[in-house]
Order: sequence, then C-alpha cells, then structure tokens
Amino acid sequence: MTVRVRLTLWYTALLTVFVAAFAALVYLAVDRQLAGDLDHAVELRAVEVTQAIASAQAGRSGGSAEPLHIPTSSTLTDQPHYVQVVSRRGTVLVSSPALPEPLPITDEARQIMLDGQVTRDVLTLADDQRLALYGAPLLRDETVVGVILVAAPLWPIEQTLAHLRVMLVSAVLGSVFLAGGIGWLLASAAMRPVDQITAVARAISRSGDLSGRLPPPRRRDELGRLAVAFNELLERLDRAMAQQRQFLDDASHELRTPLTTIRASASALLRESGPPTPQPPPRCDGEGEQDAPGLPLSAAAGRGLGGGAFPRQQELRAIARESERMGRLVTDLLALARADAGQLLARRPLMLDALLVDVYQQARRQAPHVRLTIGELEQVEVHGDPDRLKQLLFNLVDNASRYTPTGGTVTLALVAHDGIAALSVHDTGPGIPPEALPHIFERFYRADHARSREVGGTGLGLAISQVIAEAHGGRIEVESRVGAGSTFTVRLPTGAAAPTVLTVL
Amino acid sequence: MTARLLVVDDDAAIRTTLARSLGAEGYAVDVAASGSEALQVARDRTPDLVVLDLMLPGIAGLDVCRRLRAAEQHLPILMLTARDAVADRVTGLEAGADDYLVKPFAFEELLARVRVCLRRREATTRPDRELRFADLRVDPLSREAARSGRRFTLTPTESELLRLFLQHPRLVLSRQQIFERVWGYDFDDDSKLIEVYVRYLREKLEAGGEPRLIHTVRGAGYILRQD
Repeated sequence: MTVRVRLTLWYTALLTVFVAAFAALVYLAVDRQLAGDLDHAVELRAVEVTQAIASAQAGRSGGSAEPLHIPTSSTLTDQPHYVQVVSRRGTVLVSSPALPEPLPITDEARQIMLDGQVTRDVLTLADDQRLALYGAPLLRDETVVGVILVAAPLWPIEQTLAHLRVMLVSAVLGSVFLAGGIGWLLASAAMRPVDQITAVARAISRSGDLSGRLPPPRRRDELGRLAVAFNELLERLDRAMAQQRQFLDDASHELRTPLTTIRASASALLRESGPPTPQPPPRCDGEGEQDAPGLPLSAAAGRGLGGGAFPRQQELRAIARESERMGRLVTDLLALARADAGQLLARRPLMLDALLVDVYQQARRQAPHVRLTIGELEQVEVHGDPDRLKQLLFNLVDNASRYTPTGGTVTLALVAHDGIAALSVHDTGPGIPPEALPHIFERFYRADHARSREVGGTGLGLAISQVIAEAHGGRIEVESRVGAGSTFTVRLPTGAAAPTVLTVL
Repeated sequence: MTARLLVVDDDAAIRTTLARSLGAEGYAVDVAASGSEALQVARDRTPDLVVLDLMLPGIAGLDVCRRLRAAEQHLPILMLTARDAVADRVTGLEAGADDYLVKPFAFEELLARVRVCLRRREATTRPDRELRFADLRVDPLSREAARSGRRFTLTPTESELLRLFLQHPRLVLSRQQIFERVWGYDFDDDSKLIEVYVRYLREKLEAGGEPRLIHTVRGAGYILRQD
C-alpha cells in the first residue's frame, strides 16, 4: 500500500470516527430533549386535568362515596393528548373522544398509581400507534379514588428523529467521501515531490550519470529540504566519483609510463642481441625457467647465441615477461576499478571480425607455444566499445593459451545468428573441472593454486571479460570437458541499444 | 625511401627507447619532448607519421594533434595514451588521430600500427581516389564499389584488401605481402584469414554472376586479372 493511500485512509478513518461521534451526540441530545419535552407536556396536562376535576368537585359537598364528577371540558378533548380517567376498580370514567380504544395499562401500573405513585410508560395501541403515558393517582380528600392517564402520541418525535437520522447519516457519509477525496488530493500533492525525487534517483541509477539534479525546491518545507539534501548527496557522490576517476587516471598514467619504457627497452635489447626470427619455435618445457609467452624474439634469440650470452638473454626475457605481466595486471586492476566506478563505454559501430583478427595477431605474438587459428569468420558489425571488446576477447584467448600445453590449439571463431554475434575461443587444454566452473569468473579465483602460479595469469581476466560482456548486453558461456578442452562463447547483440554502463560485479 | 617518423613524448626514457627501436626497424626517427617542439620539428623535417603522446607539457597533445592535422591533412598521427579514460580516447580520435595505443604496449603492436598507418597514407595521398579495374570501380574512402552498374558496400577489411589488388593489378601477391599490407604484420600465418576475406570479396564482386577477378595462384598467392 502506498503512503498516499495509507495517509488518505488514516485521514478518512479518523475523520469518520469524529464526525460519527459528533452526529451520535447530536442525535442523543435531540432525542433526549424531545422526549423530555413530551414527558413534561403530558405531566402538565395531567396536572391541569387534576385541577379541573378538583375544581369541579369543589362546588359539590359530597363525600368520597359520591361518584366523581368529571367535567367534559376542553381539558379532555384538546389534541394532541389523550386523557383518560379510570376509577379505582378499573372502570373508564371518562376518555378523550379521539382515543380509539381504552389505554392498555397493565394492572401492576394501575396498582402503583393506586398506591399513590406516578408512573411513566410507553404504550402501543392496537393500530401500532405508540404513546408516551403519564399516569397519576386521582385524589379526593387524600384518598386515591382513581387514576388519571395522559398519553401523547410519539410519532411526531419519531418522525423528527427519523429525519434527523437521515440528515446526520448523509452528512457523515458525505463528509467522509469529501474528506477521502480531499485527503487523496492533499496526499498526492504532498507526495508529488517525493515521486519527483524517486524519478530522478531512478534515472540516475539507471544511466549512471551523476550529473543529474532535482529542480531547486520552491518552498523550504520538509520536502524542499529533502530535495536540497538529495542534491547535496548527489553532489558529494559525483565529486567522490570524479575524484576516484581522476585518481584512477593518474595512477594509471603513473604506473603505465615506466612500464612502457621497461617493456620497450627490454624488447629493444632482445632485438639487438639476437637475430630477428619471424616465427618463435615452440617453447622448451622442462627447463627450470618458465618460458612464458612473451616477446616473439625471446626464445630463439637466446638459443641462437648460446653459451655466454644465454644468461643475459634469460634475464632480459624475464624482465620483458614480468613487465608485460605487470602491465597486464595494472590494466586489469584499473579496468575493474573503473567498472566499479561505473565508467561509461565509448560505443560505436565496429567490425567484430576485424577486431578478432587484431586480437589474433596480438595473441600470436604473446603465446607462441600454441597453434592459434581462426575458424569460421563471418563479417559482423556490432555497436560496442572497441577497446573493451578487444580486451574481452584478448583475455579469453590469453586464458585459453595459458592453460593449453605446448603444441595445443586455440581456435577463434565468429558467427552471427538471429541478431546475436557469437565469438568463441576453443582450446585443447585440460578442461575445467565441473566443481570449478561456477567460480571461474570470480576475481582472483584459481582452480588449482600450484598450477596457476605456473601459468602466470592475473586472475582477473575472466572477471573483466564478463563485466565487459554484460555491459554490452551480452554474456559469456563456457563449455568444458576435463581432458577435452574448453570453449568460451561470447554472445553479443548485433543491434544497438542495451545498457551503456560498466556496472559493478 | 625510408619513412620519417616523429616521436613526441615528454618521458625521456620512452622517447629514446622508441627512437632507438624504430630506428632499428629502418625508420628515420626525430624526437620532440614538448608540444611546441613537436610542431617545430614537424615543420622542419616533414615527417611521414607522428607518434604522439597525449599528455604533454606546454601545448597539450590534443592541441598538437589538431594543429598538425590542420597543417597537413593526410599526416598519419598515432596517439599514445597512458589514460584510457573513454573521453580521452574519443576526443583523441575526434582531434584527428588515426589510431591510438594505450600504454603499456608491446613494441610489436606499435610497429604494426605504424605500418598500417603508413600504408593508408600512401593510399590516401594518391591523386586518383577512385580505383578501377575492368568493369569494377571502388572508392576506398567511402568503401562504395560498383561492378557493371551494380553498387555495393565493402567492409573496412574487404576494402583494404581490394585496394591492394587494385593498386597492383595483374601481379601475383603472396600471402606474406597481403598480410603485411592489409594487417600490418609479416610473419607466417597458417590461418585461413586471407582465404576467408578473399571469399567474401569474391562473393560481393560476383554477386551478379560476373566473371571472377581475383584468382588463386596455387602455391604463390592471389592475382587480380581478367580472363
């Protein structure tokens, strides 16, 4: 239930309770008042009748044995009250002519009156007419000789009350509906700035662009302050992210510049000290030194010179290899840090096949110990960030060649089907054990620690590849059988659109 | 004729190492340590290609790039950057760089890019923009082609490959030559890469049932000729 609905419901419910209570009070008060007035009126009438009888008797000298003389004055006939005088024995002595039947009083009530008490009651006549009854003893010379009954019909009061009920109920219902409507409008108006803030926050988190701000609030009320606070928060976040990006850029620059020199220098020295060989021979396993897939000239040059130059060559190769690895580690770490900071992709139309060939060339230089081939190669255009996609594919090829023994084959292929480009990297390596498969895209995950040290990857390549694939609206699938090699397939939509932000892993 | 390169980087170590390594590859290399020096040297020595670091003291790399480009329309500029922030890469290309490399790079990578850039310059500075052979016409810049009135578009790789054939008609081109010219590297390649793109080219060139233009010469390479 939304806050808007809850607010409205609470507001309406409270108002309903108050209005209903008020209406009930009014009703009760009116009811009381009317009933009291009627009681009073019948009592007065009874007194009048008593006095009229008394004054009629006063002119006569007869004792208590003499029958009562009841004056048939207007006292009896005046509407709207019915008057009835009953003797001690229950004989109706006189009765209002309008009264359709004798008033049906109970014997007990009559007895109470004969005992000298007054009585009040509500009677119902045969025609369902309800009457308010007032009965008093009729005294003569201190003796109760009969009973005076005065009754007034209740229908005028009942009618008034019925009207009042209708009025009150409709007033209550009306005000509840009105209150509900107004409450809804008020709640909506109050919540509108909140909706606005929500919309902006959502837009920002979707686009990753922290430069968005809420429009400055018109009033400095609670929501105005919330908007201001929200903008301040965005400002800080924006600045923090900008600082982080700046730091990453600076760190990247500071780390890469010397690495570039080291690599170029080592490469130059290797070139100078050895004859250039177009195709490095397969690397020699079983040697204590790990001859990593390094520079193309590395292996042959040293062997060509032999003897005394060999240690120097080895050292140079170590420098080249480790600086290359260091460079990759820096690149990988920065790539992940940048992905965590939500950096944007620079997407543009690009030919995936040309990109594949680029990676193929680069990987051939760096992994001369495996046979790198290109399988099926369709010409496919995608909308993507060329550097990131190149990094993605290179990481996969690098990973595959690292785990493929000397003489093995790594095959790159590209096919397109139903608007999906499938880049695949197949190797003839040892395969990935099933229990390791779910983890291979985790950062720094190593299936086999001892072996991983040997192969010398950064442990970040696959994690980065996955981030990049997902940022392009694609995904990476792995098929692997122990002993039969693995196939990594990147599926990318060939159309445009899809998310544009490298998101956090 | 040896190509003349200008290497611009404020880091002395990189400058000298690159100069030496590129020199060893047979290029004549000039160096510059700042933006103003780069513009000066570019005027004096008229290099065929500039390797330009994006981060320079004085005049920033991007400005240097723009000015060089303004001075000579077809001068290839290969940008180096240690920052691979998206904005930098994009503005670099917008400022007129032909290609860029993110540090640290393998020297061989730089070499390959230099070769490709120089080849491209060779092509774009030729006066005849449109290349013709028999009933085939190709505009390498827009990659639009037409054969006997049938128009079609080439992908970048197809265009490069076809241009190579059109520039050397009736000559057998070895796989080695094709690799070097189209992809900028020259070592043996046992992949079917060239076959794949030749196949694509043939498909486009012969889509209307026209006779074959690119022929396979067994054991030697490929040739563009009319039967």
